[in-house]
Amino acid sequence: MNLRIVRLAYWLIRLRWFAILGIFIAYYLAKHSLHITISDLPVYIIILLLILLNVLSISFLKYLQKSQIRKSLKNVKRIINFQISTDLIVLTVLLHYSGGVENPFIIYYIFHMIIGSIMLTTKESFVQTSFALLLLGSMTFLEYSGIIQHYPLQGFITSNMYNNLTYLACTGFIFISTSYFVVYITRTIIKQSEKHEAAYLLANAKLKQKDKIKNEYVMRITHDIKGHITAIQRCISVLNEKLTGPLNSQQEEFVNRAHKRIQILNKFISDLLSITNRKLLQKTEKKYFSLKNSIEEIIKMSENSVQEKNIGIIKNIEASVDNIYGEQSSIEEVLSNLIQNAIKYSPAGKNIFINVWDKQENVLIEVIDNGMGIPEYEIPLIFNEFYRASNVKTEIKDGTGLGLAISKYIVENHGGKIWVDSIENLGTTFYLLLKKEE
Amino acid sequence: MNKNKILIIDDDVDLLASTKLFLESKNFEVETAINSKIGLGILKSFHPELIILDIMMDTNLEGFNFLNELKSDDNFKETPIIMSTGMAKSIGVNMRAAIEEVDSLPKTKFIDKSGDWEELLQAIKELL
Repeated sequence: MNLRIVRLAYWLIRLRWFAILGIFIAYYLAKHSLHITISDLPVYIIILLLILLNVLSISFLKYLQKSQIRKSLKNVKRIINFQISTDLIVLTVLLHYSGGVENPFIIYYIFHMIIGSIMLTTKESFVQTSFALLLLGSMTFLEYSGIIQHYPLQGFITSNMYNNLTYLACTGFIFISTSYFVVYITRTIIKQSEKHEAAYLLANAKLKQKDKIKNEYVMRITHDIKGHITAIQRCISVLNEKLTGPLNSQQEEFVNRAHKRIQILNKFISDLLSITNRKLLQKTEKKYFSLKNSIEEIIKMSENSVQEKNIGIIKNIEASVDNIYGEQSSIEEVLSNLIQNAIKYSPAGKNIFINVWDKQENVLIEVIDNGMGIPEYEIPLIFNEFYRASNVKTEIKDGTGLGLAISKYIVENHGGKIWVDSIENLGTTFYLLLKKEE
Repeated sequence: MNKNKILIIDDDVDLLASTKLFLESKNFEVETAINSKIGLGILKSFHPELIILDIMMDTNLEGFNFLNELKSDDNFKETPIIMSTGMAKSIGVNMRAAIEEVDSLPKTKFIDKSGDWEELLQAIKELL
Protein backbone atom coordinates (compact mmCIF):
# COMPACT_ATOMS: atom_id res chain seq x y z
CA MET A 1 0.00 0.00 0.00
CA ASN A 2 1.20 3.49 -0.78
CA LEU A 3 2.63 4.56 2.54
CA ARG A 4 2.67 8.26 1.76
CA ILE A 5 -1.10 8.46 1.47
CA VAL A 6 -1.59 6.51 4.70
CA ARG A 7 0.83 8.81 6.50
CA LEU A 8 -1.09 11.79 5.18
CA ALA A 9 -4.39 10.28 6.28
CA TYR A 10 -3.07 9.96 9.83
CA TRP A 11 -1.68 13.47 9.61
CA LEU A 12 -5.12 14.75 8.69
CA ILE A 13 -6.58 12.99 11.72
CA ARG A 14 -3.96 14.60 13.96
CA LEU A 15 -4.72 18.00 12.44
CA ARG A 16 -8.34 17.46 13.26
CA TRP A 17 -7.63 16.95 16.95
CA PHE A 18 -5.89 20.32 16.87
CA ALA A 19 -8.83 21.80 14.97
CA ILE A 20 -11.25 20.54 17.64
CA LEU A 21 -9.06 22.04 20.34
CA GLY A 22 -8.81 25.24 18.29
CA ILE A 23 -12.58 25.53 17.92
CA PHE A 24 -13.00 25.06 21.62
CA ILE A 25 -10.38 27.67 22.51
CA ALA A 26 -11.70 30.16 19.92
CA TYR A 27 -15.23 29.67 21.19
CA TYR A 28 -14.16 30.08 24.80
CA LEU A 29 -12.06 33.19 24.15
CA ALA A 30 -14.71 34.82 21.96
CA LYS A 31 -17.38 34.22 24.54
CA HIS A 32 -15.56 34.96 27.77
CA SER A 33 -12.78 37.38 26.86
CA LEU A 34 -14.26 39.25 23.91
CA HIS A 35 -17.86 38.92 25.10
CA ILE A 36 -19.12 38.05 21.64
CA THR A 37 -22.46 36.27 21.57
CA ILE A 38 -22.31 32.78 20.09
CA SER A 39 -24.96 30.09 20.30
CA ASP A 40 -23.61 27.38 22.61
CA LEU A 41 -25.53 24.30 21.56
CA PRO A 42 -24.46 24.14 17.89
CA VAL A 43 -20.79 24.52 18.95
CA TYR A 44 -21.04 21.63 21.43
CA ILE A 45 -22.81 19.44 18.92
CA ILE A 46 -20.21 20.18 16.27
CA ILE A 47 -17.32 19.45 18.62
CA LEU A 48 -18.86 16.12 19.56
CA LEU A 49 -19.55 15.34 15.92
CA LEU A 50 -15.94 16.06 14.96
CA ILE A 51 -14.62 13.80 17.73
CA LEU A 52 -16.92 11.05 16.57
CA LEU A 53 -15.86 11.47 12.91
CA ASN A 54 -12.20 11.39 13.84
CA VAL A 55 -12.58 8.23 15.92
CA LEU A 56 -14.45 6.64 13.04
CA SER A 57 -11.72 7.60 10.57
CA ILE A 58 -9.00 6.15 12.79
CA SER A 59 -10.82 2.87 13.22
CA PHE A 60 -11.47 2.56 9.51
CA LEU A 61 -7.84 3.36 8.62
CA LYS A 62 -6.56 0.82 11.13
CA TYR A 63 -8.95 -1.75 9.74
CA LEU A 64 -7.74 -1.06 6.18
CA GLN A 65 -4.09 -1.34 7.18
CA LYS A 66 -4.73 -4.67 8.84
CA SER A 67 -6.70 -6.09 5.97
CA GLN A 68 -3.86 -5.30 3.51
CA ILE A 69 -6.13 -5.62 0.52
CA ARG A 70 -5.17 -4.03 -2.75
CA LYS A 71 -8.31 -1.95 -2.80
CA SER A 72 -7.16 -0.32 0.45
CA LEU A 73 -5.50 2.58 -1.34
CA LYS A 74 -8.78 3.60 -2.92
CA ASN A 75 -10.48 3.31 0.44
CA VAL A 76 -7.88 5.44 2.17
CA LYS A 77 -8.48 8.10 -0.46
CA ARG A 78 -12.19 7.76 0.20
CA ILE A 79 -11.61 8.38 3.89
CA ILE A 80 -9.59 11.47 3.09
CA ASN A 81 -12.24 12.77 0.69
CA PHE A 82 -14.92 12.05 3.25
CA GLN A 83 -12.95 13.77 5.99
CA ILE A 84 -12.38 16.88 3.92
CA SER A 85 -16.02 17.06 2.81
CA THR A 86 -17.35 16.64 6.31
CA ASP A 87 -14.86 19.21 7.58
CA LEU A 88 -16.11 21.69 5.01
CA ILE A 89 -19.71 21.06 6.03
CA VAL A 90 -18.85 21.39 9.71
CA LEU A 91 -16.93 24.59 9.06
CA THR A 92 -19.89 26.03 7.16
CA VAL A 93 -22.35 25.14 9.92
CA LEU A 94 -20.00 26.57 12.53
CA LEU A 95 -19.63 29.79 10.53
CA HIS A 96 -23.37 30.02 10.05
CA TYR A 97 -23.93 30.06 13.79
CA SER A 98 -21.15 32.60 14.33
CA GLY A 99 -21.77 35.45 11.93
CA GLY A 100 -21.68 33.69 8.57
CA VAL A 101 -19.70 35.57 5.95
CA GLU A 102 -18.88 38.25 8.52
CA ASN A 103 -16.74 35.82 10.52
CA PRO A 104 -13.03 36.25 9.60
CA PHE A 105 -12.60 32.47 10.05
CA ILE A 106 -14.01 32.01 6.54
CA ILE A 107 -10.35 32.14 5.54
CA TYR A 108 -10.09 28.62 7.02
CA TYR A 109 -11.69 27.16 3.91
CA ILE A 110 -8.31 27.84 2.27
CA PHE A 111 -6.63 25.38 4.69
CA HIS A 112 -8.90 22.61 3.52
CA MET A 113 -8.13 23.45 -0.08
CA ILE A 114 -4.40 23.25 0.54
CA ILE A 115 -4.73 20.01 2.52
CA GLY A 116 -6.94 18.58 -0.23
CA SER A 117 -4.45 19.56 -2.92
CA ILE A 118 -1.62 17.84 -1.04
CA MET A 119 -3.51 14.57 -0.60
CA LEU A 120 -5.83 14.27 -3.56
CA THR A 121 -5.56 14.35 -7.33
CA THR A 122 -5.89 17.62 -9.22
CA LYS A 123 -9.46 16.81 -10.23
CA GLU A 124 -10.49 15.86 -6.71
CA SER A 125 -8.88 19.02 -5.33
CA PHE A 126 -10.86 21.23 -7.69
CA VAL A 127 -14.06 19.33 -6.91
CA GLN A 128 -13.50 19.78 -3.16
CA THR A 129 -12.73 23.46 -3.69
CA SER A 130 -15.89 23.97 -5.72
CA PHE A 131 -17.82 22.11 -3.04
CA ALA A 132 -16.43 24.48 -0.38
CA LEU A 133 -17.32 27.53 -2.46
CA LEU A 134 -20.79 26.12 -3.07
CA LEU A 135 -21.30 25.65 0.67
CA LEU A 136 -20.07 29.13 1.50
CA GLY A 137 -22.06 30.66 -1.37
CA SER A 138 -25.28 28.88 -0.39
CA MET A 139 -24.95 29.91 3.22
CA THR A 140 -24.30 33.51 2.24
CA PHE A 141 -27.19 33.54 -0.24
CA LEU A 142 -29.63 31.92 2.18
CA GLU A 143 -28.70 34.38 4.92
CA TYR A 144 -28.80 37.32 2.48
CA SER A 145 -32.23 36.42 1.17
CA GLY A 146 -33.52 35.81 4.68
CA ILE A 147 -34.43 32.17 4.06
CA ILE A 148 -32.29 31.18 7.03
CA GLN A 149 -31.55 33.23 10.09
CA HIS A 150 -28.37 35.30 10.37
CA TYR A 151 -26.59 35.00 13.72
CA PRO A 152 -24.63 38.23 14.09
CA LEU A 153 -21.38 38.29 16.11
CA GLN A 154 -22.62 40.91 18.56
CA GLY A 155 -19.77 42.75 20.18
CA PHE A 156 -17.43 42.08 17.23
CA ILE A 157 -19.03 43.24 13.98
CA THR A 158 -20.85 46.54 14.48
CA SER A 159 -22.61 46.95 11.14
CA ASN A 160 -24.34 44.26 9.09
CA MET A 161 -22.31 43.08 6.12
CA TYR A 162 -24.18 39.87 5.29
CA ASN A 163 -26.82 41.83 3.39
CA ASN A 164 -24.44 44.36 1.77
CA LEU A 165 -24.37 43.28 -1.90
CA THR A 166 -21.22 45.23 -2.88
CA TYR A 167 -19.32 43.74 0.04
CA LEU A 168 -20.57 40.24 -0.81
CA ALA A 169 -19.71 40.58 -4.50
CA CYS A 170 -16.18 41.83 -3.83
CA THR A 171 -15.48 39.31 -1.08
CA GLY A 172 -16.93 36.55 -3.24
CA PHE A 173 -14.74 37.42 -6.20
CA ILE A 174 -11.58 37.65 -4.10
CA PHE A 175 -12.41 34.45 -2.25
CA ILE A 176 -13.22 32.41 -5.34
CA SER A 177 -10.14 33.54 -7.28
CA THR A 178 -7.88 33.02 -4.26
CA SER A 179 -9.27 29.52 -3.71
CA TYR A 180 -8.69 28.27 -7.25
CA PHE A 181 -5.34 29.97 -7.43
CA VAL A 182 -4.21 28.37 -4.17
CA VAL A 183 -5.26 24.94 -5.43
CA TYR A 184 -3.50 25.47 -8.73
CA ILE A 185 -0.23 26.56 -7.08
CA THR A 186 -0.33 23.80 -4.47
CA ARG A 187 -1.03 21.13 -7.06
CA THR A 188 1.86 22.37 -9.23
CA ILE A 189 4.27 22.22 -6.31
CA ILE A 190 3.01 18.82 -5.17
CA LYS A 191 3.25 17.36 -8.67
CA GLN A 192 6.84 18.57 -8.90
CA SER A 193 7.73 17.02 -5.58
CA GLU A 194 5.98 13.76 -6.50
CA LYS A 195 8.01 13.65 -9.68
CA HIS A 196 11.21 14.20 -7.70
CA GLU A 197 10.25 11.58 -5.17
CA ALA A 198 9.61 9.03 -7.90
CA ALA A 199 12.93 9.86 -9.55
CA TYR A 200 14.70 9.58 -6.22
CA LEU A 201 13.13 6.22 -5.45
CA LEU A 202 14.08 4.92 -8.87
CA ALA A 203 17.65 6.17 -8.54
CA ASN A 204 17.90 4.62 -5.11
CA ALA A 205 16.71 1.25 -6.37
CA LYS A 206 19.18 1.40 -9.25
CA LEU A 207 22.01 2.33 -6.90
CA LYS A 208 21.24 -0.59 -4.63
CA GLN A 209 21.26 -2.94 -7.59
CA LYS A 210 24.61 -1.55 -8.78
CA ASP A 211 26.00 -1.81 -5.29
CA LYS A 212 25.10 -5.45 -5.20
CA ILE A 213 26.76 -6.13 -8.55
CA LYS A 214 29.86 -4.25 -7.44
CA ASN A 215 30.07 -6.16 -4.18
CA GLU A 216 29.86 -9.47 -5.97
CA TYR A 217 32.46 -8.33 -8.48
CA VAL A 218 34.89 -7.29 -5.77
CA MET A 219 34.32 -10.54 -3.94
CA ARG A 220 34.90 -12.61 -7.06
CA ILE A 221 38.13 -10.82 -7.94
CA THR A 222 39.36 -11.05 -4.38
CA HIS A 223 38.76 -14.74 -4.34
CA ASP A 224 40.26 -15.44 -7.75
CA ILE A 225 43.46 -13.41 -7.37
CA LYS A 226 44.12 -14.68 -3.89
CA GLY A 227 43.41 -18.22 -5.02
CA HIS A 228 46.13 -18.13 -7.67
CA ILE A 229 48.66 -16.46 -5.42
CA THR A 230 48.03 -18.93 -2.63
CA ALA A 231 48.42 -21.90 -4.95
CA ILE A 232 51.69 -20.53 -6.37
CA GLN A 233 52.99 -19.75 -2.91
CA ARG A 234 52.26 -23.23 -1.63
CA CYS A 235 53.79 -24.90 -4.68
CA ILE A 236 56.99 -22.90 -4.26
CA SER A 237 56.95 -23.63 -0.52
CA VAL A 238 57.02 -27.32 -1.33
CA LEU A 239 60.25 -26.81 -3.25
CA ASN A 240 61.64 -24.32 -0.80
CA GLU A 241 61.19 -26.68 2.13
CA LYS A 242 62.80 -29.42 0.05
CA LEU A 243 59.79 -31.71 0.39
CA THR A 244 60.53 -33.02 -3.11
CA GLY A 245 64.17 -33.69 -2.32
CA PRO A 246 67.35 -31.65 -2.18
CA LEU A 247 68.02 -28.79 -4.59
CA ASN A 248 71.40 -27.74 -5.89
CA SER A 249 72.62 -24.38 -4.68
CA GLN A 250 71.58 -22.48 -7.81
CA GLN A 251 68.08 -24.05 -7.81
CA GLU A 252 67.78 -23.23 -4.16
CA GLU A 253 68.79 -19.63 -4.75
CA PHE A 254 66.16 -19.09 -7.42
CA VAL A 255 63.40 -20.88 -5.55
CA ASN A 256 64.29 -18.67 -2.62
CA ARG A 257 64.04 -15.54 -4.73
CA ALA A 258 60.66 -16.62 -6.11
CA HIS A 259 59.44 -17.53 -2.64
CA LYS A 260 60.38 -14.14 -1.21
CA ARG A 261 58.79 -12.26 -4.09
CA ILE A 262 55.57 -14.20 -3.88
CA GLN A 263 55.38 -13.45 -0.17
CA ILE A 264 55.72 -9.74 -0.86
CA LEU A 265 53.18 -9.99 -3.67
CA ASN A 266 50.74 -11.78 -1.42
CA LYS A 267 51.04 -9.11 1.22
CA PHE A 268 50.72 -6.40 -1.39
CA ILE A 269 47.57 -7.92 -2.87
CA SER A 270 46.07 -8.41 0.58
CA ASP A 271 46.70 -4.76 1.41
CA LEU A 272 45.43 -3.56 -1.94
CA LEU A 273 42.27 -5.61 -1.64
CA SER A 274 41.83 -4.51 1.93
CA ILE A 275 41.86 -0.82 1.03
CA THR A 276 39.78 -1.29 -2.13
CA ASN A 277 37.18 -3.32 -0.33
CA ARG A 278 36.99 -0.84 2.49
CA LYS A 279 36.44 2.00 0.07
CA LEU A 280 34.00 0.14 -2.11
CA LEU A 281 31.97 -1.78 0.39
CA GLN A 282 32.05 0.63 3.28
CA LYS A 283 30.71 -2.09 5.47
CA THR A 284 31.41 -1.73 9.11
CA GLU A 285 30.10 -3.71 12.00
CA LYS A 286 30.86 -1.67 15.05
CA LYS A 287 30.43 -2.74 18.63
CA TYR A 288 32.05 -2.25 22.04
CA PHE A 289 35.22 -4.26 22.55
CA SER A 290 38.17 -4.25 24.92
CA LEU A 291 40.98 -2.15 23.48
CA LYS A 292 43.22 -3.39 26.27
CA ASN A 293 42.71 -7.02 25.29
CA SER A 294 43.24 -6.21 21.61
CA ILE A 295 46.56 -4.52 22.29
CA GLU A 296 47.73 -7.38 24.48
CA GLU A 297 46.67 -9.89 21.83
CA ILE A 298 48.58 -8.06 19.09
CA ILE A 299 51.70 -7.81 21.23
CA LYS A 300 51.48 -11.54 21.86
CA MET A 301 51.17 -12.19 18.13
CA SER A 302 54.30 -10.15 17.47
CA GLU A 303 56.39 -12.25 19.84
CA ASN A 304 58.21 -14.14 17.07
CA SER A 305 59.47 -11.10 15.21
CA VAL A 306 60.31 -9.38 18.49
CA GLN A 307 62.43 -12.27 19.70
CA GLU A 308 64.25 -12.48 16.36
CA LYS A 309 65.42 -8.88 16.71
CA ASN A 310 65.86 -8.98 20.48
CA ILE A 311 63.39 -6.14 20.92
CA GLY A 312 61.32 -5.60 24.06
CA ILE A 313 57.81 -4.19 23.91
CA ILE A 314 57.14 -2.09 26.98
CA LYS A 315 53.48 -1.33 27.40
CA ASN A 316 51.83 1.10 29.75
CA ILE A 317 48.06 1.09 29.63
CA GLU A 318 46.21 3.46 31.94
CA ALA A 319 44.03 1.39 34.28
CA SER A 320 40.79 3.15 33.37
CA VAL A 321 41.11 2.29 29.66
CA ASP A 322 39.06 -0.65 28.52
CA ASN A 323 36.11 -0.75 26.13
CA ILE A 324 35.86 1.42 23.05
CA TYR A 325 33.29 1.47 20.24
CA GLY A 326 34.36 0.47 16.74
CA GLU A 327 35.01 -2.33 14.34
CA GLN A 328 37.32 -4.59 16.27
CA SER A 329 39.07 -6.31 13.37
CA SER A 330 39.77 -2.96 11.65
CA ILE A 331 41.11 -1.26 14.77
CA GLU A 332 43.25 -4.32 15.43
CA GLU A 333 44.56 -4.06 11.88
CA VAL A 334 45.62 -0.47 12.54
CA LEU A 335 47.31 -1.36 15.83
CA SER A 336 49.01 -4.31 14.24
CA ASN A 337 50.24 -2.15 11.35
CA LEU A 338 51.74 0.40 13.72
CA ILE A 339 53.35 -2.18 15.99
CA GLN A 340 54.69 -4.24 13.08
CA ASN A 341 56.15 -1.06 11.56
CA ALA A 342 57.79 -0.15 14.85
CA ILE A 343 59.38 -3.59 15.03
CA LYS A 344 60.39 -3.59 11.37
CA TYR A 345 62.04 -0.18 11.47
CA SER A 346 63.77 -0.57 14.85
CA PRO A 347 67.37 -1.69 15.03
CA ALA A 348 68.00 -4.92 16.94
CA GLY A 349 68.09 -4.53 20.70
CA LYS A 350 66.09 -1.27 20.87
CA ASN A 351 62.83 -1.33 22.81
CA ILE A 352 59.41 -0.24 21.62
CA PHE A 353 57.00 1.60 23.91
CA ILE A 354 53.23 1.45 23.74
CA ASN A 355 51.39 3.95 25.91
CA VAL A 356 47.63 4.15 26.19
CA TRP A 357 46.09 7.19 27.87
CA ASP A 358 42.56 7.85 28.98
CA LYS A 359 41.56 11.25 27.55
CA GLN A 360 37.94 11.60 28.76
CA GLU A 361 35.91 10.92 25.59
CA ASN A 362 38.93 9.57 23.73
CA VAL A 363 41.76 7.12 24.10
CA LEU A 364 45.23 8.18 23.00
CA ILE A 365 47.59 5.45 21.90
CA GLU A 366 51.29 6.12 21.36
CA VAL A 367 53.55 3.68 19.56
CA ILE A 368 57.14 4.79 20.08
CA ASP A 369 60.22 3.33 18.47
CA ASN A 370 63.87 4.32 18.42
CA GLY A 371 64.33 3.37 14.82
CA MET A 372 65.50 5.08 11.66
CA GLY A 373 62.83 7.79 11.74
CA ILE A 374 61.24 9.58 8.82
CA PRO A 375 62.91 12.49 6.96
CA GLU A 376 61.08 15.68 7.98
CA TYR A 377 59.95 16.65 4.49
CA GLU A 378 58.39 13.24 4.00
CA ILE A 379 56.27 13.23 7.15
CA PRO A 380 53.20 14.77 5.47
CA LEU A 381 53.36 12.15 2.72
CA ILE A 382 53.62 8.89 4.57
CA PHE A 383 49.87 8.31 4.87
CA ASN A 384 49.47 8.51 1.10
CA GLU A 385 48.72 5.34 -0.80
CA PHE A 386 51.83 3.59 -2.17
CA TYR A 387 54.15 6.12 -0.54
CA ARG A 388 57.26 4.72 1.08
CA ALA A 389 59.78 6.93 2.77
CA SER A 390 63.07 7.17 0.87
CA ASN A 391 65.19 5.82 3.73
CA VAL A 392 63.09 2.66 4.22
CA LYS A 393 62.91 1.85 0.53
CA THR A 394 66.61 1.16 0.43
CA GLU A 395 66.82 -0.77 3.68
CA ILE A 396 63.59 -2.73 3.89
CA LYS A 397 62.22 -4.00 0.64
CA ASP A 398 59.01 -5.76 1.66
CA GLY A 399 56.78 -2.78 2.47
CA THR A 400 53.72 -2.23 0.32
CA GLY A 401 53.22 1.46 0.94
CA LEU A 402 49.62 0.75 1.86
CA GLY A 403 49.68 -0.09 5.56
CA LEU A 404 49.50 3.52 6.76
CA ALA A 405 46.99 4.50 4.08
CA ILE A 406 44.71 1.70 5.25
CA SER A 407 45.27 2.71 8.87
CA LYS A 408 44.41 6.33 8.18
CA TYR A 409 41.30 5.31 6.27
CA ILE A 410 40.11 3.08 9.11
CA VAL A 411 40.85 5.62 11.83
CA GLU A 412 39.06 8.43 10.01
CA ASN A 413 36.14 6.16 9.35
CA HIS A 414 35.91 5.78 13.12
CA GLY A 415 35.97 9.53 13.67
CA GLY A 416 39.49 9.29 15.11
CA LYS A 417 42.85 10.82 14.25
CA ILE A 418 46.25 9.43 13.41
CA TRP A 419 49.45 11.45 13.22
CA VAL A 420 53.17 11.09 13.60
CA ASP A 421 56.23 12.74 15.15
CA SER A 422 59.59 11.67 13.91
CA ILE A 423 63.23 12.64 13.90
CA GLU A 424 65.46 10.92 11.40
CA ASN A 425 67.87 8.42 12.97
CA LEU A 426 66.33 8.94 16.42
CA GLY A 427 62.90 7.44 16.24
CA THR A 428 59.25 7.76 15.47
CA THR A 429 56.08 8.12 17.52
CA PHE A 430 52.72 7.32 16.00
CA TYR A 431 49.68 8.76 17.79
CA LEU A 432 46.24 7.28 17.52
CA LEU A 433 43.25 9.10 18.98
CA LEU A 434 40.11 6.97 19.12
CA LYS A 435 36.66 7.81 20.40
CA LYS A 436 35.39 5.68 23.26
CA GLU A 437 31.71 5.98 22.48
CA GLU A 438 29.59 5.69 19.39
CA MET B 1 52.27 -44.19 16.18
CA ASN B 2 49.48 -44.07 13.63
CA LYS B 3 49.38 -41.18 11.20
CA ASN B 4 46.41 -38.80 11.56
CA LYS B 5 44.18 -38.89 8.52
CA ILE B 6 43.21 -35.65 6.80
CA LEU B 7 40.86 -35.07 3.86
CA ILE B 8 41.27 -31.86 1.87
CA ILE B 9 38.38 -30.67 -0.29
CA ASP B 10 39.25 -27.79 -2.60
CA ASP B 11 38.61 -27.01 -6.26
CA ASP B 12 42.20 -25.83 -6.82
CA VAL B 13 44.31 -28.84 -7.90
CA ASP B 14 47.63 -27.04 -7.44
CA LEU B 15 46.69 -26.17 -3.93
CA LEU B 16 45.60 -29.74 -3.27
CA ALA B 17 48.87 -31.18 -4.59
CA SER B 18 51.12 -28.84 -2.63
CA THR B 19 49.15 -29.02 0.59
CA LYS B 20 49.00 -32.81 0.41
CA LEU B 21 52.77 -32.98 -0.03
CA PHE B 22 53.36 -30.58 2.81
CA LEU B 23 51.04 -32.30 5.25
CA GLU B 24 52.49 -35.68 4.36
CA SER B 25 55.92 -34.31 5.21
CA LYS B 26 54.47 -33.40 8.59
CA ASN B 27 53.47 -37.01 9.09
CA PHE B 28 49.79 -36.93 8.15
CA GLU B 29 47.99 -39.31 5.86
CA VAL B 30 46.25 -37.14 3.27
CA GLU B 31 43.52 -37.65 0.68
CA THR B 32 42.16 -34.96 -1.61
CA ALA B 33 38.92 -34.23 -3.45
CA ILE B 34 38.20 -31.50 -5.98
CA ASN B 35 34.57 -31.06 -5.01
CA SER B 36 32.25 -31.93 -2.18
CA LYS B 37 30.57 -34.75 -4.07
CA ILE B 38 33.84 -36.61 -4.56
CA GLY B 39 34.74 -35.64 -1.01
CA LEU B 40 31.65 -37.38 0.28
CA GLY B 41 32.59 -40.56 -1.57
CA ILE B 42 36.14 -40.59 -0.15
CA LEU B 43 34.84 -39.72 3.30
CA LYS B 44 32.99 -43.01 3.60
CA SER B 45 35.99 -45.23 2.86
CA PHE B 46 38.82 -43.06 4.22
CA HIS B 47 37.30 -41.99 7.58
CA PRO B 48 39.46 -38.89 8.07
CA GLU B 49 40.09 -37.50 11.54
CA LEU B 50 40.00 -33.97 10.16
CA ILE B 51 38.62 -32.29 7.06
CA ILE B 52 40.00 -29.14 5.44
CA LEU B 53 37.16 -27.62 3.47
CA ASP B 54 37.18 -24.78 0.94
CA ILE B 55 34.11 -22.55 1.01
CA MET B 56 33.85 -21.12 -2.49
CA MET B 57 33.94 -23.91 -5.02
CA ASP B 58 31.37 -24.50 -7.79
CA THR B 59 29.03 -22.20 -5.95
CA ASN B 60 29.97 -19.45 -3.52
CA LEU B 61 28.62 -21.39 -0.60
CA GLU B 62 29.29 -25.00 -1.57
CA GLY B 63 31.56 -25.45 1.44
CA PHE B 64 28.88 -24.27 3.83
CA ASN B 65 26.31 -26.57 2.30
CA PHE B 66 28.65 -29.51 2.62
CA LEU B 67 29.42 -28.56 6.21
CA ASN B 68 25.72 -28.63 7.02
CA GLU B 69 25.41 -32.04 5.45
CA LEU B 70 28.30 -33.36 7.53
CA LYS B 71 27.01 -31.87 10.75
CA SER B 72 23.64 -33.52 10.30
CA ASP B 73 25.20 -36.93 9.52
CA ASP B 74 25.70 -39.01 12.68
CA ASN B 75 28.83 -40.63 11.26
CA PHE B 76 30.67 -37.38 10.65
CA LYS B 77 29.21 -34.74 12.92
CA GLU B 78 32.06 -35.21 15.39
CA THR B 79 34.78 -34.87 12.73
CA PRO B 80 36.76 -31.63 13.19
CA ILE B 81 36.60 -29.32 10.21
CA ILE B 82 38.80 -26.44 9.12
CA MET B 83 36.95 -24.07 6.80
CA SER B 84 39.11 -21.88 4.62
CA THR B 85 38.69 -19.31 1.92
CA GLY B 86 40.79 -16.82 0.03
CA MET B 87 38.51 -14.12 1.33
CA ALA B 88 39.65 -12.13 4.30
CA LYS B 89 37.19 -12.52 7.12
CA SER B 90 36.33 -8.87 7.20
CA ILE B 91 35.27 -8.58 3.59
CA GLY B 92 32.93 -11.54 3.39
CA VAL B 93 29.87 -9.98 1.91
CA ASN B 94 27.06 -12.37 2.54
CA MET B 95 29.42 -14.81 4.19
CA ARG B 96 29.98 -13.04 7.41
CA ALA B 97 26.96 -14.41 9.19
CA ALA B 98 27.74 -17.88 7.90
CA ILE B 99 31.35 -17.60 9.03
CA GLU B 100 30.32 -16.54 12.50
CA GLU B 101 28.05 -19.53 12.64
CA VAL B 102 30.96 -21.77 11.64
CA ASP B 103 33.14 -20.25 14.35
CA SER B 104 30.48 -21.02 16.94
CA LEU B 105 30.22 -24.70 16.00
CA PRO B 106 32.20 -27.18 18.11
CA LYS B 107 35.36 -28.61 16.56
CA THR B 108 35.14 -26.23 13.63
CA LYS B 109 37.59 -23.50 12.82
CA PHE B 110 37.68 -20.85 10.19
CA ILE B 111 41.00 -19.73 8.72
CA ASP B 112 42.03 -17.44 5.89
CA LYS B 113 43.54 -19.34 3.04
CA SER B 114 47.12 -18.18 2.64
CA GLY B 115 50.42 -19.38 1.30
CA ASP B 116 51.69 -19.52 4.82
CA TRP B 117 51.51 -22.98 6.39
CA GLU B 118 51.73 -21.79 9.97
CA GLU B 119 48.07 -20.90 10.45
CA LEU B 120 46.97 -24.17 8.90
CA LEU B 121 49.31 -26.26 11.06
CA GLN B 122 48.24 -24.36 14.14
CA ALA B 123 44.57 -25.01 13.39
CA ILE B 124 45.21 -28.71 12.80
CA LYS B 125 47.07 -28.98 16.09
CA GLU B 126 44.21 -27.28 17.91
CA LEU B 127 41.55 -29.55 16.52
CA LEU B 128 43.26 -32.93 16.70
